Amino acid sequence: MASAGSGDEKAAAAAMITLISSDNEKFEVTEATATLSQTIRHMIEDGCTDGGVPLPNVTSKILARVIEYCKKHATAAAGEEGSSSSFSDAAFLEVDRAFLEELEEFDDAFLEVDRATLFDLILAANYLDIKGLLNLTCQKVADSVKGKTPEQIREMYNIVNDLTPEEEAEIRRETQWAFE
Amino acid sequence: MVSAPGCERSPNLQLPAHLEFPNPSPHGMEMDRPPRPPLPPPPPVAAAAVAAAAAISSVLGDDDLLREILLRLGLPTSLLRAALVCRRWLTHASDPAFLRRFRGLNPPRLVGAYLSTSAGPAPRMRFLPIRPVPELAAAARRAGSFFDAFKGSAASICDSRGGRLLVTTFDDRNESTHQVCSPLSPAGDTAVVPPPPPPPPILLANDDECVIYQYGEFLPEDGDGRSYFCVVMGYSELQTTMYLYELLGMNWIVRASAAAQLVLSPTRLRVMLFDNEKFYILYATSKILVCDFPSSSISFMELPNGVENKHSGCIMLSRGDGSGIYLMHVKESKLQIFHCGKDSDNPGNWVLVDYICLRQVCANLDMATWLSVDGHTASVKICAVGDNAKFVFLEMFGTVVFLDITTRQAEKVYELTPEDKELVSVRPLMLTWHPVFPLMENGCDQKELCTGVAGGGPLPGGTSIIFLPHAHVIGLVADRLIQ
Repeated sequence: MASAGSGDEKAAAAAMITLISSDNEKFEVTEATATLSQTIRHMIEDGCTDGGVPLPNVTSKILARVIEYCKKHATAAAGEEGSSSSFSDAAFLEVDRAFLEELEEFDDAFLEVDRATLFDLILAANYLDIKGLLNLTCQKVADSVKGKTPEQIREMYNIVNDLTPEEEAEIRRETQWAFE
Repeated sequence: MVSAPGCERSPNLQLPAHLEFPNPSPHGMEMDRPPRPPLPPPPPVAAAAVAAAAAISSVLGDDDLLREILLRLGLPTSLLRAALVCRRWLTHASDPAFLRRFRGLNPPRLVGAYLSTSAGPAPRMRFLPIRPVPELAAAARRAGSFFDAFKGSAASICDSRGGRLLVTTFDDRNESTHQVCSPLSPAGDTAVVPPPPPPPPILLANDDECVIYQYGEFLPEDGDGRSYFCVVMGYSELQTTMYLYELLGMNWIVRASAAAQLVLSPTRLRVMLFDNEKFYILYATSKILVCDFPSSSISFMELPNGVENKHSGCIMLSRGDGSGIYLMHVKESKLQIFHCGKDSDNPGNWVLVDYICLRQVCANLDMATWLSVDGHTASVKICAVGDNAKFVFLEMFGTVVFLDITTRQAEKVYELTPEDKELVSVRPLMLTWHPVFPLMENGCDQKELCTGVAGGGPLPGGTSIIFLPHAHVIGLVADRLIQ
């Protein structure tokens, strides 16, 4: 985190935004990082970010993770813009590929969290309207459901089955092989 | 941890979240209070479980977020299982608008391919699963056992498109039966359909003249699974006539026809393509004959520069989802992919869109023979190409290789044995069916139903559930409901 702080200092010339978590913690981030969130982008456009942006739905623990994600992806977006002009150049394509791979690795590592954090990240990504993060986290939950039986899914997420046995049997009968 | 109340933090020092003071109090009120004995912390496991449960129920209880998650299940089989979790999940998964998004986000997935060889009197149809995943194991098993039902009769697949096959079977007396089959359809549809139409009468200039007929049979992109197209080409020295037939209500209807005078009779090749408007067939060594049925015109298109129809299997065409057609060409260890736009002013304006060195992508396949075969162009043949040139099946050095064009991943899927003699065809099979769901009668109010807590409440009064027998019926009904 110390290195992230010095990074922010270097970018001090760039506009900084203060985000305030539900537990009143302040986070200083660059505008490029903050505007990955459409919600914050709109607030900046409307000029109502002076004195910090209160985010009453996001705890400091989750906001720190969200910022970590946005920082990485904001850098990636900047890198992409820089190289897009030389699209035809094979060397640049190689650089792009390496960059994307690194980003993928980051995303994979980023998702190594407990379930509470994962679902909190979904809520935060939804509230802050960060498409990439919402996609990433929802995909992780979808992956956890893939290939599971309905019973396993219910157990995993503590869901009560309110379909009647007849209804359930009818659906299964139509598509028996999908449940084999 | 020793905390120092009143100690001013340097404004330049940014502490990471986990080092911040817990619940910082802006007015320093904590200093005025006598220190409280610390509460025993809750057992960590239970606390984590409670926190997780709260977050999970907030997410899964939110209709939009639940839909975002269900959308990413990838395969219809996974969606079907998720739909059985509870009534609320079923409501979302079966919503027509949701299903359209699901289809848009999750294109049909290749399950495998049927391979037939010329071995023996009754050639066997083998199913080769491609890149199997556990969610598709049942689908692959079903596809694999599909031809068991045809025991005793020889079968050949004339065309495959999406999840359907156009199959011809021959009984002991060599009488043929045509059927449109959907091995992966939930209902396992197989419909017997009429054979291709008899050749149309063509006027001859004199008694010595003869007509050579060529047939091409093609499945439509969608439909009720009981229809197919037949292109009949009648060649005589004076005139070549092409007819497009469509099977409607079990009767053949002439959709269009076109005529032109050709120098050569196009020979029946595996390289034919029909994309609902145009019919393409290789002609001589450097051209493609194009029959445009809407305008009843026949024209020629040059092959891309440097591409020659030298040996069977070196060129294959692929449909481009309304964006024109793709042409795949293999020469030695070079695989080239060209695209020709649909509305191109200059027909035959091919653009090279991809280039693959087979030697490189097949390096991990133990193809020791590469070194000795350079120059023997007949060694690599294209057997089948996916729509939009997404994948290709190649026959090389006695093996069948599957190559995913996007990821460049190649895998050996079959090794031909001496008993196989020759490879006849490879027909891809996609998982395209849409999940079958009960429809809510009277268009019950989604909102009302969905705002309940995870687990759902009882159905609003008066809602009953109806079941429809086939996936495609549901699909049609659902699509009409949206329009």
